[in-house]
Amino acid sequence: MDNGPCSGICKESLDPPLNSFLKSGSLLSANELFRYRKSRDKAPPQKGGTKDYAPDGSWLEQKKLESFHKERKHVLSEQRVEMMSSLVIGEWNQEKQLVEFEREIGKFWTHMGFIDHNRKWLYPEEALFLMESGALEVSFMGVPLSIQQGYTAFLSESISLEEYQVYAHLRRHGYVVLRHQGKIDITKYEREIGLDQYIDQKLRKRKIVTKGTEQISAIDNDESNSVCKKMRETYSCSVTRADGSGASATDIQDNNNGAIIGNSSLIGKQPTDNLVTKHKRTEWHNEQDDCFHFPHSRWNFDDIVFPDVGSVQHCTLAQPLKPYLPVHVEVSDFTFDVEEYKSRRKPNRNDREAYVDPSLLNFSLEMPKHGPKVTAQNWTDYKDMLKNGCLQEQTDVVSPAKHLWEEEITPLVRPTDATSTANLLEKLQVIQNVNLTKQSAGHFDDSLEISFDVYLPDLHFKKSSPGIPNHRVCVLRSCDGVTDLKSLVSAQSSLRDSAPLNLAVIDCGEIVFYTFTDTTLPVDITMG
Amino acid sequence: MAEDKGEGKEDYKLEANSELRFEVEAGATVQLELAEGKAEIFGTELTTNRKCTFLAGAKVAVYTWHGCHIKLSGRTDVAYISKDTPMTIYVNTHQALEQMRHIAEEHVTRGPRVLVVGPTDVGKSTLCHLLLNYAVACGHSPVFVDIDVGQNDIAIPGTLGAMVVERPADVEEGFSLTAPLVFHYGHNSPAQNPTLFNILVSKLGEIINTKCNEIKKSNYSGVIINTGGWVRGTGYDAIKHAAGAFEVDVVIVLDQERLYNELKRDMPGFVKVILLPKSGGVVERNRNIRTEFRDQKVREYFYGTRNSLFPHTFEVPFAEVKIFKIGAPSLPASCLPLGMKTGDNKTKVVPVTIGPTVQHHIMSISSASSVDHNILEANSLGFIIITGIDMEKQKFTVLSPSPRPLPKSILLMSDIQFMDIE
Repeated sequence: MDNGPCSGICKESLDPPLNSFLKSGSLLSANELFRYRKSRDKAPPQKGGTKDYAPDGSWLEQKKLESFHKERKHVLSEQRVEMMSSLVIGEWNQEKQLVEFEREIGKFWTHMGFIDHNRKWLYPEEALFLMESGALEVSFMGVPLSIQQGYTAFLSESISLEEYQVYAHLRRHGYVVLRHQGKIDITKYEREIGLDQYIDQKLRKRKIVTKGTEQISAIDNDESNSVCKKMRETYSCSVTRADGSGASATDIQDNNNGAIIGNSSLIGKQPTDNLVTKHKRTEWHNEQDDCFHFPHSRWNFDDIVFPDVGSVQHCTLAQPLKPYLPVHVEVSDFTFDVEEYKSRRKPNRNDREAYVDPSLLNFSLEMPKHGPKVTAQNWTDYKDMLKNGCLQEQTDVVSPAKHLWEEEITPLVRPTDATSTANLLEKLQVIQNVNLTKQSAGHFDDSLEISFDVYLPDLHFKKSSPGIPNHRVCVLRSCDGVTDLKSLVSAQSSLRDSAPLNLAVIDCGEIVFYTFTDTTLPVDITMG
Repeated sequence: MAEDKGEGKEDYKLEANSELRFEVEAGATVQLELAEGKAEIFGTELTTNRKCTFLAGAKVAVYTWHGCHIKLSGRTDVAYISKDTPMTIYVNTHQALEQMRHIAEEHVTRGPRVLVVGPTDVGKSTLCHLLLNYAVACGHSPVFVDIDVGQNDIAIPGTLGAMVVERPADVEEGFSLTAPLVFHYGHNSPAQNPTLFNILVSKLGEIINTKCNEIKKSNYSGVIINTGGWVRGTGYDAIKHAAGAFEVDVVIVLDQERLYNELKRDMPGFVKVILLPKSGGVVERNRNIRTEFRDQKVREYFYGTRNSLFPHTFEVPFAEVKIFKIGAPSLPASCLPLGMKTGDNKTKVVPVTIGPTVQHHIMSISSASSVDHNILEANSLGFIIITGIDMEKQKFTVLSPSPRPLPKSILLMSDIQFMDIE
């Protein structure tokens, strides 16, 4: 600014110019520029100090307040001087609620704005931020807008004041803030092997996201869009206001805490976070199960008759049904005499010990081990039950604690469960643990509306493929109340990636960020 | 009608539902021709006017449903006709299985899996052949798993194998071996290394499950598993383990009521256990015959059933291969270092120094590429026999079904030996 030729364009922040020698839109002479710079070299204005909880009506207090107000007014009315060559000229498009410009100057294009049909566009919040930083001049219908006009025109339904405040706050800290893009379809693995650059550009074009409406994928797609009509309505209100007084006298909402200090912070300030450049090697995450498992069949052995010589005396074979037999087979004989067969058999050496049911014997060494009572219907269930030790064998062993099970209220654990402490504790757990973050099915019905995706500034940041954001921000007002866990969890889980969800609560310009994380309490089993 | 010591040509006229059984005399061959009618040998239909040759020691039963006329020429030990066969029962079993296959196909669920158990010499392999042939005749392609390590139908003794059956067995050659999956076990009987046996059975079970999940036809056609004759004690546990590993639906017990009752008691309720009679024509084999049979099987692997294959002989330097054995010699627990259990070393892969000990043993070429891979569970690519060793030149001569070089360098030594005398 100091080195350039003495040409600066003066923009007004508040319309009735207090500095009389500077008219808006005029070029400054060297003298004027020098004087302007000098007046700006003062210390930044004070912010207010500690808060008194009650007015005490004293004169000192009055005086303080007066001087404070006066300083504020002075600061707000300051005019800005920018170098013409460093100022981007943009045009506000009311229908689309976007700012169009031709030539970018400076580095903002790497992380702001987008191209559509060979035209360069900026979102309103980006445009407003650039205006406040003095990098952009937006004109509407040929007339350059003041900051106040910018606020009224740009902030509408698509982006609210609170959201803009959060946006500006994050941008001033150096983050790259984009509108929320929705779920990222590229998996981590694909990103790692560099596959994301080859995925169809059209699919991943930065969709133009409008709040509360469907996503419009191309700008020109707005013929039937009812949203546009709505936008036109809001515009018509503000137009009358703007037209009504060349210098609109609407009261400015209190947009402090940034507009004044903002100039130097656009370029050059580095955040204090460490730039994360390396990813840990992650395993390939199978999105779906590719393997198809045939489920187990449930055979009805009453219908499917197997000949069984062991169970019946006379085995009457089922009449063979034609479709089930090979062509050359024709069965004519349907009975099989089991008794005759058994009597005819030569006693084999294996049969020397005839099988005697031990339960028939009076003094049997073998316990009559009946098979475990299983309620499993197929092998998978059976194996699971075996693993979990659910098979309770019918033992005739008399346990000294048997009386405990005779009444209505039975113990939770059996003596046989004492295999390990973990097993015992598991059986004792009457209250089930619920892990909300893992259990949610991803309903999207009532979840939060996420406003922004935040990225750490990175040399390699590409607007076209920004990747998974470092944070996601949802803007809330302090009067809105705390969101419930369910909507929070469903929002987080529907996105299915590891970016934390931050809630920005804004209260009269003060922004605080909150986030919910999962933690597991330690379970210490030291015995057994 | 029938003569006991038949020589020269014999004609047999069989009525419906009767069977002609004969055994070929040692050192002779018998030719069979179906002159008229329809007949089958263990499920494979015979074509009229085609001569089939049977080698020495073969025991054949020709069954007819409708009646036929058979001509035999050659020297037979015994040849007689019997009307007392359980074929109707076997066909009924097949029919029930076929119903299960249809149900599975309709509901898109898993096909029937059958485990055939029983003591030795009851006709388990024959029943398996029968069921497989009938299944193929009905248009399915079932999976055949043979975990009988002593008398294996798929590969040589000392292995466990699985294959998909797509065509009926040839009367002379048996099942056509299209890409069988073979695992090296190394002994004649599961009793010698039950731990390894169970591990391999589990591995086979996994593979069968994967195969069924991937190929629908195999899934709907089901699996038929043939076991060995070891049914007592640990053998019984091995049967239970196999039933669980393959997740069988039906267990067919041949001819032993005790085993049938025990299995009925021990199998979970959704498994159907049935007892089937053995055929009257089943011949008991004594130990000598069994050993001979094993030898013959190995010979068939290399030379083919009718000496139709020509194996290669070539030299392999010691450095090219690494020979291992599974299972260290079992020591009593007191001799082992503290904490080590005897069970551990049964599945240990022990390197074998090449010396005169390896001669004449069957070696299986493991598909594992290096020692780090799980050699226990790696399948075998093929078998070779080390016929001679030259310690000075550090080379040994091998008999191999395919020419040099050996496909992989890790060999597993089997207990079974084979002398290549011709």
